[in-house]
Amino acid sequence: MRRNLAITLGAAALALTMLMGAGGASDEKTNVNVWNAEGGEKDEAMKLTPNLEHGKEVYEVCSACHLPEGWGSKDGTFPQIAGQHFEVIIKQLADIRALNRDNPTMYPFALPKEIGGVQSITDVSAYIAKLPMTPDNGEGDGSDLELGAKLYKDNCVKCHGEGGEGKHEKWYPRIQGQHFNYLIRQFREIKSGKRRNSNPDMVRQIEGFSDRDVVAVMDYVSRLKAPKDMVAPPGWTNPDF
Amino acid sequence: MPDPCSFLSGPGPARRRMKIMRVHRLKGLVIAAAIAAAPWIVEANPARADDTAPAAVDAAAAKKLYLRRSCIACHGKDGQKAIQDYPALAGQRADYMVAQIEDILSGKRVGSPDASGNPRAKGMRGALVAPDGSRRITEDEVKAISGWLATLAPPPIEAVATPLEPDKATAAAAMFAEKCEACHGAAGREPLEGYPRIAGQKHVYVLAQMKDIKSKARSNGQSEAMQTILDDVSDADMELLAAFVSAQEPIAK
Repeated sequence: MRRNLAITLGAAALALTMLMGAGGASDEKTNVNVWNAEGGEKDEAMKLTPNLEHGKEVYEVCSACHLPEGWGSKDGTFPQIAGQHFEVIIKQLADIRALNRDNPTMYPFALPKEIGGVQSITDVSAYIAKLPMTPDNGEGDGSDLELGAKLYKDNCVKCHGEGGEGKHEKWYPRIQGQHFNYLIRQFREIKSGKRRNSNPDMVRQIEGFSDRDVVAVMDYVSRLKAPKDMVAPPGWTNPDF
Repeated sequence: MPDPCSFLSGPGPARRRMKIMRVHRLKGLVIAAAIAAAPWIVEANPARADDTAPAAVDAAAAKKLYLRRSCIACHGKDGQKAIQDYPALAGQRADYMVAQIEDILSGKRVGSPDASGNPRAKGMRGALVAPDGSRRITEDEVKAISGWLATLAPPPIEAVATPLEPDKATAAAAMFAEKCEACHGAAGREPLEGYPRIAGQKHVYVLAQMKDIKSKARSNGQSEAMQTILDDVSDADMELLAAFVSAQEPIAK
């Protein structure tokens, strides 16, 4: 009985914590879109000349999660970043650093203290952009691809391209060959407004998507293949590490 | 099953438990009853921190897991060089680490907002729980990594720009003996089972945890017992205690 009391007290404390935890700082920032704020490190980093050798050094810390190959994890916890457009990587890194994109796991590593100043953003982005992509990304279950293809054609092609290659000069990411579960998570966070640095045009475009639509179109995207010369052979490991 | 009253006799740790009982009785019988009923208090002989690791740890395999599960990114090579306000892990008690990792995975352990505005420990959860909610690390892997880290030598204590003045250091030592020693051991070196070794832990981490436990932002595991103790400890005294703890050699010289 005394033991039950301890458990009850513990449960009450936990419930209290959860109540108090609701509505924290990160929630307040939700829905304040900051897609492409002018100025800041994004603009600066874009203009600098990349130093790939230094980019490799900076990348070492990234490799703990994104892997030495930049392939992330097939289960979608960490995205593939290999082969992403230089400009897109700069934007995302600068946005995470400036707290325009919420990413508690990566945030500490985006800070100058860990990776250095704006030159590091340029250097590591150039290094990552040149890494060959995984031949084995996570895909959906393939059960609704017809719907996915139609949705993609009607809603996504204009910005992300027929093959999901994106548009580097507009900061539209390459989404071909990305892990399905990562795509799903980002799509939902863009739709709900949680991902604050997303393009408002996209948020409007996908407003009416049902859950089935989201899964179908992301499954389709996860099966879009990157150009052959951008994809590593199976079993490739990054000789830099 | 050990005799539930065995802690009332015998040397060493048992006396410490009686002290906990005394402290908690001051705070009210309800808490004392809860403490007395908690399984960790009736456990027989709490082992030294160094004895908690499994007898045979496959160090090479555990170290590889430590790399592959991204632990190294935040806690540094061999748990020695944690970034930001994350804790050093080398030499920590294995049972404590296992419990904390599991609590972080399940969401039981959180904390006040970190620099990114998210509850502390959410970042770690993000690395170990996949988008579909499944674990990226098995219970056995948690045990293996914790067991290995426990065998490693703790990092050297941090260099401090301005050490505590002698009279403050004396006051801090006395406060530590009164408030903290019962559970964390002399100078925070030999904690009871399930409690962390805090001697030599990073100042910024120790202070953040004390504040989070006092405010109940963190209330997992046995931090409930500590909440009552911190009730009448001021912010200034927490600073003092953190400075004292982080300056202690992790292993007596």
